[in-house]
Parts: sequence; C-alpha cells; structure tokens
Amino acid sequence: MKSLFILILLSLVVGISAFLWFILSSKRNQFDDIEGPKYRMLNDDDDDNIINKK
Amino acid sequence: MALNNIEQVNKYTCAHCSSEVNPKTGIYEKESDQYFCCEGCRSVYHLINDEGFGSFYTKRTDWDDAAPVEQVEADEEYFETSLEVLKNGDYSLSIVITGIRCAACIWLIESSALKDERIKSFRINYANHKAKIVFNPKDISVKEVLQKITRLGYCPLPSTNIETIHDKERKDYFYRFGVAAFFSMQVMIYSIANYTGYFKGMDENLYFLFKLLSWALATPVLIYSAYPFFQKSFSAIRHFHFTMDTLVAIGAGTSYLYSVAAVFLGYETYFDTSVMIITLILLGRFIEAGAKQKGGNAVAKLLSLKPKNVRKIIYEQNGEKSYITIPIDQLLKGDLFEISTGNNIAADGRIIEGVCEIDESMLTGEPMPVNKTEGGQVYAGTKLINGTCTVMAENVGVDSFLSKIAASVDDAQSSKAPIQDVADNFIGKFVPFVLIVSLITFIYWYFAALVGAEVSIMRAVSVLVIACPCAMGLATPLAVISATNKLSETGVIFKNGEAIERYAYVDDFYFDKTGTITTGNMTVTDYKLSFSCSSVLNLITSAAFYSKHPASKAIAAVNEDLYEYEKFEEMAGKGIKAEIKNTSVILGSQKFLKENSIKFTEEYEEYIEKVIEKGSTIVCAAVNHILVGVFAVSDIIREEAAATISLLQKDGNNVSIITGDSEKAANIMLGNAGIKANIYANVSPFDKGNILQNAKDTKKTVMIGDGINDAIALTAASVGISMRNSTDISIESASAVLLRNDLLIIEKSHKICRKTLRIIKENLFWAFSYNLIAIPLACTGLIHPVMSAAFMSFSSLFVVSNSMRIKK
Repeated sequence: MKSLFILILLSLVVGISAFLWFILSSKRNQFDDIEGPKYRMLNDDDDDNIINKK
Repeated sequence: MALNNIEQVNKYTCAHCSSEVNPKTGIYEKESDQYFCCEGCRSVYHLINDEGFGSFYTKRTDWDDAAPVEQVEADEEYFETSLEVLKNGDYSLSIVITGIRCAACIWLIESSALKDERIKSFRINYANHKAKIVFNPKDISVKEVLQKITRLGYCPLPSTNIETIHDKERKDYFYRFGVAAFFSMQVMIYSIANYTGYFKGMDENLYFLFKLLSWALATPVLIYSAYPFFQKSFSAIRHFHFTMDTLVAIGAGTSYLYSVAAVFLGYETYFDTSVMIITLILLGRFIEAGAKQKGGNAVAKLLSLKPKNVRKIIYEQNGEKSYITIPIDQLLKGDLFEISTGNNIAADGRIIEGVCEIDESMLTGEPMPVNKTEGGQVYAGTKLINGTCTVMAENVGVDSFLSKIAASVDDAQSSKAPIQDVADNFIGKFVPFVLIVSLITFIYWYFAALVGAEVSIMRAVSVLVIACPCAMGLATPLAVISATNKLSETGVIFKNGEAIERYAYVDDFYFDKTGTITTGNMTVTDYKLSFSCSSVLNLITSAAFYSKHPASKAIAAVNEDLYEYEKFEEMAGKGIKAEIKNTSVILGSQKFLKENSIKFTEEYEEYIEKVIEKGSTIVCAAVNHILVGVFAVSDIIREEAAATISLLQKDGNNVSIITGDSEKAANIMLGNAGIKANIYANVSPFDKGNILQNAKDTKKTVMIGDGINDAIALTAASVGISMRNSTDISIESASAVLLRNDLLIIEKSHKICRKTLRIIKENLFWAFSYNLIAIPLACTGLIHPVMSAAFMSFSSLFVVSNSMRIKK
C-alpha cells in the first residue's frame, strides 16, 4: 500500500516536471522554427566561413 | 533539309538568377565564361564568389525561375518600428526577408552577414522567412545591416503585425491544449482505476484518494484551458444566445461541479468527462488556427511580389535629370516617375512622355495589352509590357484605383453577416431545452417527491451532465477537420469551417471568364503559312522570341529553334521589325504591315476576316517584304471548363459567367467550347460585386475568380474561391484558394462539402438520439453511473468514426 503512494507521487513529479520542461522550451521559442534545423545541420560545418556567435 | 546549314543558338541562362538570357542583350563575361541577364545579377554573382560562398550555386536545389536581381535601397526610417533595444544597449531588429527561394538562400544571407564581426547574431526562420538580427548600434548602423541583405539581391521588409496575431492565437490554443491534454491524461489514469474498481471492488480509502487526485488534476484544466469557453459563454448567456462555447462551458462546468459534490457525497465522479471534452474541442480549435495561419502565410508571400520601390525622376536646377529609387509609400502626388519594360506601375497617373503597351489584365480581365501615349491614364498595379515612359503621379497610396478596390473589399468583408452554422443553430435550441428539463427535474424531486435539496440538486445537475456530452460538441469540429484534410488533398484550402458549410448550400455558380474559365495566357490557335518550309517558321518564331508581348510569346512557343538577330526593333502597339540571317522579318498587326507596304492577297484577307469573327487577334508575318503567314492568337479556354460546367448543371446548379469583354466575343468563345451558361458581359469590377450582392439575396452564391477586378465579387458572394495564380488581393478576399488550376476541383469540393454537411447533421442527430434515451433516465434518477459513462463514450465514438467517413 505504501509503495503505491510513493509511486503515485513519483509519477506526478515526473509527469509534471516533464510538462514544465516542455512549457519552458516552448516559451523560449524552441518550437518556432521546426523547419530550420534539418538544413542547418547540413550547412553549418561546411567551412571556416561560419563563425558561430552565441 | 534547310535547317542543317543554319547555325543554331543555344538558350543561355543567367549564372545568378538562372532566367533565360538573350545572348545579344545579355552580358557575357569571358573570364568566368558565364552569361548574366543584367548588371545586378553579375555583381551579386561576384560578391558571392569573392566572399567564398560560391558553393551557394551548387547548394540551391529547389530554385524556381527567379526574377533578376533588382538592387534596392532600404530606408532606415522604414524599419524604426521593427527595432527593439535590448538591456545591454544592443539593437534587435525583426524583419521579413523577401526573395528567399530555398534553404541555400538562408544559409547565404546568414553566413555572409555573420562574417562581419559586428553583427552578433543573425537568424532566419526557415518557415516564415522572418529574421532576428542582434547588433550594437555603436559598431554598425541599421543601414549597414540592411545593406548586408540588399547587396545580395534580397529585400528586407519591416516585420508585419498580421502574422503575429495569428501566431499569438495559435500559440494561445497550443498552451491551453497542451495543459488540457497533459492533465486529462493524468485524470484518466485514476478514472480508469476507479471504473475497474467499480466492477472488481477496491479499497474505500484508495477510491476516495483517487477521486481527490482527479479533482486536483482536473482543476487546472477547468481554470486555465477552459477559460475562453467560460468567458465567451458568459457574454452569450447574457444575450440569451447559446453557442458551441456555451454548450462546452455548461457540459464541462456542471460535470466538474457535480463531481466535486460527488467526492464528498460518495457518488461517482465525472472529472474525466469534464476534461476530455475540453481537450478534444481545444484540439479542433488548435488545428483550425493552424490552417488559418497557413492561409495567412500564402497571402504574405504573395504580397511580397508587389513592387516596393519606384524610380522617381528629379530635375536638377540645371535641367538635368537624375533618378532616385524610393519606397512606394514615399511617392507623392505630382511626382514624376519612370517606368520601363517589365515594371509594375506604382501609382495612378498620366503619361507625360513616351509610348507604351500596358497589360491591364488584373484590372479589366483583358489579356491583350492596351496601347497608351502621352496623356493616357495608367493605373497602379498594372504592368508595362513594352516601351518606356514618364508618368506624373495623380492618385498615390490609398487614393489609387487599386486601393479603392481594396477598400470596398474591406467594406464588403466587414458588412458580411456571419452565418450561424448548423451546430450552433441546433445548440441554440437544444441548450434552453436542457436547462428547462433540468429545472423541471429539480422542481419535481424537491416539491413533489420531497427527497430533499441535496438529492434534488444532484439529479437536476446530472441531467445537465448527461445532456451535454462530448458528442454534440465534437459533431462539427471533427467533421470540419476531416473535411479540411480531404479538401486539401483534392486541391483546395478553405480558410475556415464556416465556409465549408456555406459552400455546401451553394447552388448558384459565377465564374470569371479571363484567367478562370480561360488560362489567361495567349496561345496560337490557328495559323496559315504560304510556305511549308521550316526555316521560314523559324525566322518568324525567332523574331517573336525577343519580344515581351503576349502575342509574340505565343508565337515563339510554336517552335523550339532559335536564331540570333542582327537587328531588332520593337514598336509599342504596332509590331516588330527584325533582321535575322540577313533576312528582314516584320511581325505585327495588319495595319502595321500595310504601313510597311506589304500586300495582302485575297486569300489572306478572307482568312483574317474569318479569324477575327471568332474573336481571335491577328498577327501577320512578312519575310523579305512578302506576306508569308498569319497567326490567330487568343486566350484559350481551360480543357476541363466545359466538363466542369456541365457537371455542375447536371447537379441542378445555376452557372453564370461574368466578363468585362463584349457580349459577342464572349458568346463566340464560349460557344466554340460548347459551354452553355448565362453570360454577363461588359461588367466593371464594381458591377461584378453588385451582381453577386443582388444574387445573394435570393440564392446562395459562389464566385470563382482570379483578378483584382474579381476581388469585390469574391467578397460579396456567399463563398469566394480564387485560382492558384491569382492576385494577392483576390486570394485575400476569397474564402477558399485552389492549390492547382483545375476547375474540376470546384465540382469535386462541392460534393465533399455537401457530404460534410450531411455528416455534421448525422452527428448531431445521433448525439441527440443518445441524449433522448439518457435524459429521461437521468430525470428519474435511475441512470447507472457506468451506463452514463458508456453512453457518453459511445456517442463520442460514433461521432469520431462517422466524421472519418468524409475521408473516404
């Protein structure tokens, strides 16, 4: 019986933290450009021209 | 064969923009062995190579036929509203970049700009071509940043607000749906445990704990996700107006409140029903918002095709002319500006100097260009096909004819009464009915059966809960989602679900003629040649190839072979004179050839008369001053037009064709193609709107069109459908856009919309039938909790699977 309570609690914590993580990444506009990465991946390490400034 | 001893010329393409280059007028560069169509392309080509981005040309894959580079000056002031000052003093500039055609363009712009150490970050969104640039104003000015883009031949525009409103709406639904989906899944876990516990038996404490957990997890959904429903239904109820939102709010709200009470009273809880209905409805809204955004993107892309700049002429004090390129909105009344071949005219005005041919098809629908000379009136948005002229601007900006059309479209749009869709109509009657039944239930149990307030209230509320199941709320959205998918597969995008329903009721079809029933392109339909020798034909088509006139293009398309010319002269509105292979070639109207003292035999005169009667335009050709052939050029009717119209008529629809042409020309043309329909001829853009407005009073109408002249009619009709290659304003005014220029789609989608409407009605009927059984049971208090749960999921399942039938 006790294990059940722990598991319920655990599932809620894991679930809600995953959910918050998703909301956070969405708020940081990480889902705005879902087209780009597949092209950037191919272009970025092409030559020395790209200076990745962050 | 005569062909063999004649040297052939290959068709060259520009090294930068890959448009076709005329080897005579284009630029050839020996060092690189490349052809360029203009200086602009050439300088960009070298710039790209010098900076080490030559791989751009191998990287670009889906590069469409692009327009040559037109170097533009970006005005700093223009971008003030797009600037944002960051905390550390840096500027963040948000812009939209037009001219981007492929992924390689983005790579080129980003990496060439980032080569400059002063630009801190430069990121372009691949999906909507919006860019965010961060830099310090102390290091580099806004102007310099913009030049980084313009020098490559792309055009930066200040970021517009239209898209961000869509973005916000979509994002809002996205969050609300996300929250609802996550929590309803959690609620489901405990609900299923409780349902199985009902059959198998379970620990009382655990049962109570699961109820509490469901309550806790359902609360955020009700408070946050369902907020828009509650907000909208409160204002609706105040006006005794019941909509889908009211139903969702009542259904979810009462089942939630009922469940909260049930937690303490020991009844079964329905938190799962409450959150599931919210989640599913939000999913529908989210998808719909996405479709709207897609439509918006298409419009934004088309808007970018408009001319943004104009070449203004300034007279210096010493009388010398100089040119300056300015953005279109800085042009003032009375300003002089120059337009040359291929330009779009920026403002309404009068020609001061020069002779030209203007393609006014977007305004009048007429595909053949109009000749204009000094004093001639020109309209904004029309295109100069041939010649150069100076124009004095008369009506600029919002005063231009083009903008007036846009304004009346806007008017028509705002005065459009929103139609109440089937479900809302039904719900408007159903909700008050349920409320009354629920009230009667309470009165009966409290006053007649005397079971006490607590039980009476629970029974009355359970009527509400049972009566407002998911099924009814889902009846329309699911059918609309499924229909939207099917329709876009068929080749048409509807901007909203309302239009799909409205199109189902339509039985009165109005087609624009030019560009809709016809292709809008000139084609050679018939020709008569004196010689069957191919070299004569080659001479004629080669001469035609170098001209930009639509009739010449049609003639050039007859033949693939191409010769170079020694001399070439084009007279606006008359024809062309060329010297090819030491032979003189004259091409043009009958009058033009007669002016050049070329004799017409009787045989040819007869032929010309016959062709003109059919409504075609004549182009005569003379080689070495002897008439060798006559071409009949006309706008041809789309292959599928006759079939589409007869199919629509067979279905009992009324079909009409509206045109700006004369009645005779339209009759002959349509008669030849075997099209029988009502014809409205000599119609101006504003009259087109009136025809549709009047017809709408008695019938449900649809307008299918493509030009600016159709925009008002597209808005005035119950449903407006625009063709794929339409002008941006008509796409904006229409409620649906064809993805392919195939008129049969119009007939097919009409069937799909009708089917969708039928399915929506079926959905409502079945959802209602379930209620009809469940409501009396709820009133009597006899309904078993598991039975009510089964009723709810059955009716939802039915609606889901029935809606899927649209896809078949």
